Parts: sequence; C-alpha cells; structure tokens
Amino acid sequence: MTPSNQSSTQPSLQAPARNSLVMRLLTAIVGVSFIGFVDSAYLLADHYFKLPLPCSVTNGCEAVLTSPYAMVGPIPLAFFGVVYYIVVIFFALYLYTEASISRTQILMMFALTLVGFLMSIVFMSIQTFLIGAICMYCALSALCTLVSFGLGTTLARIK
Amino acid sequence: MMCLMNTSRRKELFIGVGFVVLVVALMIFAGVASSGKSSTKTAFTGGQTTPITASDHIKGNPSATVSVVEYGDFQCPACAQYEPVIQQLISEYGDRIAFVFRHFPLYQAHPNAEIASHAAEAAALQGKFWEMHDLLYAKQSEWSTASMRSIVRDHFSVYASSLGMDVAKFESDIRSEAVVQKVNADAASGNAARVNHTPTFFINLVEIKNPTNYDAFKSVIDAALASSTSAQ
Repeated sequence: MTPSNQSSTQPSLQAPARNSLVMRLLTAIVGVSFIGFVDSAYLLADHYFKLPLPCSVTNGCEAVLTSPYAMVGPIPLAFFGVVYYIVVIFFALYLYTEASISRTQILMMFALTLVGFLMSIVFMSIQTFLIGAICMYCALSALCTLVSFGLGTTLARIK
Repeated sequence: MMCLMNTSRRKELFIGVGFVVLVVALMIFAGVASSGKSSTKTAFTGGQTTPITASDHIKGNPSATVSVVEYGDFQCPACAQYEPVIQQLISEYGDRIAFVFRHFPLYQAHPNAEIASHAAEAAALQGKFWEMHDLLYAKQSEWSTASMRSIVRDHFSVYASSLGMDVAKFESDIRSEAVVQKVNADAASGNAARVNHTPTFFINLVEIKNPTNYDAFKSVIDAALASSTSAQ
C-alpha cells in the first residue's frame, strides 16, 4: 500500500476528491459501456430478426450464437448484456452528477464493472473450451467489460 | 472550479442520455429487421439441382408449379432455426408449392448427422418421415451432443417408439443398405449441385442465397409464383 497523505478517514469524498480524474474515469466508463450497449443491442436484434448463417462444409457453423449457451431459458444472453450496460451507463452518470461521491458508491461502481468482467471471463471460457469458436461481437463485449473493469479498478484506488 | 449540477440539470442529462440510448437501440433494431428485405433479383446464385422424383420426400403439392428443395443436416443448428420458417411457409402456401427435403449431412462438422438421416429414412419406411424429421430438429440438443453411436441410436429408438413405430423394425432398418443408399444418393445430388452449406435452398431447382428472415423467403417464393402464372 502506498502511504496515504490523508489526515483523516472520511465517510465520503467531498469536493476536493471529486476531482477531474474521477470525472474522466466515469466519462470513460460511460463511453466504453455505450459501445458495449450498441454491440449487445445488435446481437439482440440479430437474434430476433435474422436467421443464422448456415453451417458450412469448410467453416463449421455460426456455432456460438446458435448454441444452447447463448440462451438462459427463453432469454438470449444479449438481453442481459443490454440491461447490464444500461445500468452501468446510468449509475456512472448518476455518480457524475453527484455533489459528493461516497466510498460505498465508488465501490458499487467497481463491483458493477467487476461483475461484468467476471461474466465475460465465463462467456469467453464457454466459447473457447465448450463451443470451440469465438464470436467477434461477443469478444468486443468482453473487451468493453475488461476496459471498464480497468477504469473501475483505477476509480476504486483513488484515495 | 467544478460546477455542481443541480437537480434539474441532472434530470435533463438523464432524460437526454436515455433518449439517445433509446434512439440508438431503435435504429439498430430497425436496421437489422429491414436488412433481409433485399430484392429478389439478387436472390439466385446460379447453382442447379436435379428434378424432383418419386423417391423424394415431398410436403405440399408434388405437382405444384413452384418447388422448394432444402438440402439439410439434422445436426446443423442453423437448419433447426430455419424449421419454424419452413413450417410457416408450408402452412401459408399449402398446395401452391412442393417442399422437398434432401439429406446433406456435414460429416466432418457433425458426427451424428449421418445416422440421424438414416433414422429419418428408417422412419420413412414406416410412413413417418416428416414426423421423425420434425422430432429430430425439435430434440436436436438432446442427441447432437451424444458421443457414442449406440447412445445416439438409443435416443432415436425412443423417438420411434413415441411416434408409435415398430421399434424392432426401425432398429434394423436404420442399419439397412437401402436406407444408407438413399441418404448417400441425396448427398451425391447435393455435391453435384455444389451444395457446400446447410441449409441450402433451391426454388424451382435453382439455388437461392439463404433468406435472412421469413419475409425475404416469402418474397422469393412470391416472385416464383408470379412468374409461373404469367408464363401460363
């Protein structure tokens, strides 16, 4: 741990800590999550409006999006992606507009990005080890959660 | 100096961002939904298949002016996802079209596809081809993942029994030379027509690009029906 220059532990980060770095991190989380949102929304629309690409002699199938892992019961995973990114976007915006951000709120933001990142690890593992194929749109979403987890970690480390 | 937002500014920001998110989502959905409605002029790829014969499995009217031939693989997830579309086409067009299913098991990608085709042909010998065809697609996830042929066969025997078939006859037919020959003949006709993916569809024996949704499929068939009536 780096030695802290704080004189006392505060229950909330008051105006001095609501600095431009925090603001920039939150803006970046909104930006990255928006990309994730567009990506997931595309996958969701694809699921409902488009028939899958055919299975091919040479390339196998569009295995990932047609696999049973792409659904939780009747709900496609992309739906959870869309909801997740909307929650992240609005929570980051909420913090952005808060007069003072409490440590708990920062940790909640961090926890959100952590959950997204962990879910992405699970999904990428399923694709790699169980399906044996990677879907590019799913990989982009995983990248978004990775970046947003990095931003969330940086945010949580700010004293 | 950081300017803190008051409540009304915050409300505006939230409504603004919510609006943007909603508009973007709608644009994506509208874009994807309309992407399949391409013109029918570009639908044909030029490949051709062999004429329909008495040995084909036909739904609808065998002497209809418009035929739809599908080369399918029972283990192919894309084929299973096309199933509801095909069912809808058959129920909508009735005896105005002849729908034909031909086997094209992708041996390398789908180790259980060939034996599934044999099961459908064994069912055909008891007059239950389409019932087995539908059941194989409906239960695809159940038998596709089985790693041993004996387990796959056990699944198929259960299906045969549920369809009220003579299971002993089914189990001997599934290994019979006649059944193997029929599947091989279908696959050979597919190879001759340069089929390299499943499902592959032919309208009036001419290959089409796979329609991306029901409406796109319907427009290709409508065009074929229109040209067949104008030719008369």
